[in-house]
Amino acid sequence: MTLLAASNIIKEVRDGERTARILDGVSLELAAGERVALVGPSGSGKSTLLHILGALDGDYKGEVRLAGTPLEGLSDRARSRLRGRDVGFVFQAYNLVARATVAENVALPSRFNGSHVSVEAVREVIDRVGLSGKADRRPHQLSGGERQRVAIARALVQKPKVVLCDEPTGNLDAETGDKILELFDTLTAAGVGLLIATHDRAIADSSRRELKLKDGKLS
Amino acid sequence: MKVGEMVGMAAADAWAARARSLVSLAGIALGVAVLVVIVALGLGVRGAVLDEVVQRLPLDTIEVVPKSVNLGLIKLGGGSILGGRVIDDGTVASLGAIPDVSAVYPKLEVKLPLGARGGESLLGKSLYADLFVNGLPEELVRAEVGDAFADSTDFLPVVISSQLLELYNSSVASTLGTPQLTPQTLIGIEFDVWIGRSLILGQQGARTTGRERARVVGVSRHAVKLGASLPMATARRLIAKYGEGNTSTYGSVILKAHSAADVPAITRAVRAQGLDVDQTAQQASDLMSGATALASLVGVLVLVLAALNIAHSFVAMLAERRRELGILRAVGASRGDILGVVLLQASFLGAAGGVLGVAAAWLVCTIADASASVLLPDFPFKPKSFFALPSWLALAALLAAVLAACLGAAWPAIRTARLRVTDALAD
Repeated sequence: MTLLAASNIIKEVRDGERTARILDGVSLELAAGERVALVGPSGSGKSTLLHILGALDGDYKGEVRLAGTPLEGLSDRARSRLRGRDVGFVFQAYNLVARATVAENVALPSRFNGSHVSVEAVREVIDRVGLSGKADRRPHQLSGGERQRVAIARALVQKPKVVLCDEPTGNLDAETGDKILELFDTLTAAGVGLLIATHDRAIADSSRRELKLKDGKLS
Repeated sequence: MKVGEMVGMAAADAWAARARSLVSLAGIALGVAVLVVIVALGLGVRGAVLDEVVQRLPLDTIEVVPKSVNLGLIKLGGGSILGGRVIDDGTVASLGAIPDVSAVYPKLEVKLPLGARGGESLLGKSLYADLFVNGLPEELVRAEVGDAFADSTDFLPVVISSQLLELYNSSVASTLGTPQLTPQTLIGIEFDVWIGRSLILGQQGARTTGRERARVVGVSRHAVKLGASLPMATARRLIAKYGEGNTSTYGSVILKAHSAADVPAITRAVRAQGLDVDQTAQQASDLMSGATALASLVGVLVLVLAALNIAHSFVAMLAERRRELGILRAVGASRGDILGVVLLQASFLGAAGGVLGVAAAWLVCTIADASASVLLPDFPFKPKSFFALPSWLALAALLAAVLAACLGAAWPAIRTARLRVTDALAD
């Protein structure tokens, strides 16, 4: 079953008089339980594509269907709801709320979409990413790798259909990176679709498919 | 986003930015305090003037007067001189025939030169003053004075106004060193009334001169303000005995309606008869309301400045939180959620500032009243409190504070809510 489908995505950015085409007719599909690696040099448009697929950026041409819902024409409220409920997003820069604890950061999505996530469920997902005993710490009290794991826990807590990851293991040591890969395997086994933008060969090699993005085009 | 979540998040945000919040809150509190003190002063003084000085009539009652021409400071009396209607017995009868008028109380003008002398037993010295008198229907005054206000051949039963008593107590008594008087001590006091000559009118309007004994039988809100009022029959007898004028000309007529709702229609009918309705209380009320509204502009201005301060504060605060708000948007917050949280935060500041402002205003009013009672000398109609702080004023001030805070935060909130998620995260 296709969870995410993009068709002929074009993204242009104006820079003064000049218009730069970041994505040039990108089409892709992501099935349930599938892990796909998105590779390409820095500046090739990987993050931009993930933002469009994750309903973070609505300024593009083309069509995206997320969990069966076309994103084009959706109201801000509906896009936000979809983003909070069906998509988990792991950012390269973590994007944690500095004054919130680990548990509060992880529980953040549930505050907006009206779903109730119990304290136990939050603890469980924190345990799964290997941060047991650190639920009450704040991001500045954690290492880079630990912060990335909080970001992953936040992406998983709502049990999303699709998880989009932007360099999820870029800041992790090899051992923790392996643990995260194991976690991803359990997610795909549970039917979650994973699209991972990465430079990490290990992730690319262990993925079912590898999509190469260069000069805004997929190959 | 659930309201409870929004409230919790807004409260946490306000607490997180507590230094800025305190400055914003202080600005709102100052504006509200200034506004409330000014309005409370206006209401207090207005109430004192209307209740004690002008003594406004009940809502179901109007006072009909001859038409007059108002030339600013000069008011030309009406009656036949200006083609208006003089109030005589026929006029009183036609006023009584107006639908929904339940009672008619004419006030007879006694146009005689009169002087009063006496008071030695009570004041320790004999005083003289020119006296202005009118005649009132006994039933108009009965509720206040009882049956004592009835025609008598032994003496002139008089009632005086509470305003006259207040003027005497607050100025004459202190100047002359005579005792203060109460309505109770006044009752039964007798004095001489000299008829046919006075300091102001001389002998104008009198056919002959004489002297009558008068006795105070009570204090009435309907009595002539700077003089004394007699029962109608007594006044007629006095005019017949000493005067040369028409005994049937009335200065005004009080009309009582079945209900307050009937008053506008009765007023129109009165004006259709070439007469007018006394607007003294309304004009005094309008004048003081206007003055209060003008003075309130100072408070409103401070509130506007406080709102601008909030706007400035929120622009800075939201700019600092741009990335954090982008994160919230990324994990599912809608523009409405962001807008709601920011406006709720502003309304918390407004409400807290409003409560503080009202409390500060109450404190200022209390201190000012206490100081006034000690520092200000007694003067006529000096109120116990110069301020009126009704609950509706406190509530309105609270709402104004919340509104000012929300208006101040609205533009920064809208601008932040419109922010593109990817732009905010790129910071």
